[in-house]
Amino acid sequence: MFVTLAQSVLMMDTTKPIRKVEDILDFTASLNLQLDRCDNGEGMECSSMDASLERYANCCCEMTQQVKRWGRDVFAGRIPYEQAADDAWFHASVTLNNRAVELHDRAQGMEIPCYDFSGLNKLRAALYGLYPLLDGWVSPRRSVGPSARQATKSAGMETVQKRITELRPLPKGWVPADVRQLSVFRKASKT
Amino acid sequence: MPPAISLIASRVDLGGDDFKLIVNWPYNDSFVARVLKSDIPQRVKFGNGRIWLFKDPMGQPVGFGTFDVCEDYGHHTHGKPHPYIPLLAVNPTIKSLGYGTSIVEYLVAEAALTVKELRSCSDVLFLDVYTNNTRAIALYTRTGFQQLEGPINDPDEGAQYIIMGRRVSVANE
Repeated sequence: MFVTLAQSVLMMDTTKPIRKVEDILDFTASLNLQLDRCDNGEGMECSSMDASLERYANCCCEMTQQVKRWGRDVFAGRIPYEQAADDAWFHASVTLNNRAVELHDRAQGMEIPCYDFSGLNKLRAALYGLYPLLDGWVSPRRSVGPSARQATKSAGMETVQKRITELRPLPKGWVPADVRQLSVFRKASKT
Repeated sequence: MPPAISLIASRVDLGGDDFKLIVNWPYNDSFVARVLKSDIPQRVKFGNGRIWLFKDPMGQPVGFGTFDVCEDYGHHTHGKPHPYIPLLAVNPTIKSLGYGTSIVEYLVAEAALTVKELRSCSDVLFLDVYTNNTRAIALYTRTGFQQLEGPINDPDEGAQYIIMGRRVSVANE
């Protein structure tokens, strides 16, 4: 499933940041417990295959958001890099991905031409967000460039705001020169 | 100013040959290689970063450009995410024929598309550049960017940089 840039920005996390190794371990243990209960059919939340698929999809989304947030925090210098945190996030993400793929494949095998699980698309979309983190795992480091690590308010904020206000837009009738961009631009203009 | 040269852009994957190609170009400024190897993969993985390789009509790779939507300068956009150019470079092994201008214009257009699609995004495209990089500052000024802030001290690099911006919404839209 294709996730546009706009969608990915809108999916930016709103969850509480998890920064300490012990908190990461607590978080992942809690997710695993939820999924164990789900797999065992405990409670009402996973009373059907669709409900299980949705539960797994939510867990994958939450994991993706948390790993990305941790990465951005290290990148911006808000927290130091810790190998133990890196290992914990990677291990937990791989475990969740494998569990989710297993459920996905089982559900896909149960589908028949006239019956689709609505939760299957949600899980596919969630895996589409999680898997790219695992494929060629990148360990975060403090930013080399200044924008992320020096993003603080400066004394000349009013001057900057005035200059921003004075920036002129692209001229009326402007369109991109690139063929792909032009096509996207025209589609966006219609919506 | 001569018109920008038409280039062919293709998306670059971190694990692909094109990324290896641009990482291994012999940049005059080691900062470019460090940002490309360390920052850009993180912007792709943890943010909304994207990379393009640009080729001339003969198929020769002439440069690359990167783009992100982030909140690095959110303190200037009332907390809104904004388009940002982390890095671009012309292939240092060839004679540049104005490729930098074409790459910047492509990235400006990408920012314009993003702003059009994502209404919660600020319509100011930001970048930062060290003050000793006068060629880059001239390029950005030529392509419509204006200095917004600086010079700012960067103790990590032992240098000063300025923040530049350009509005990427289209007039009367």
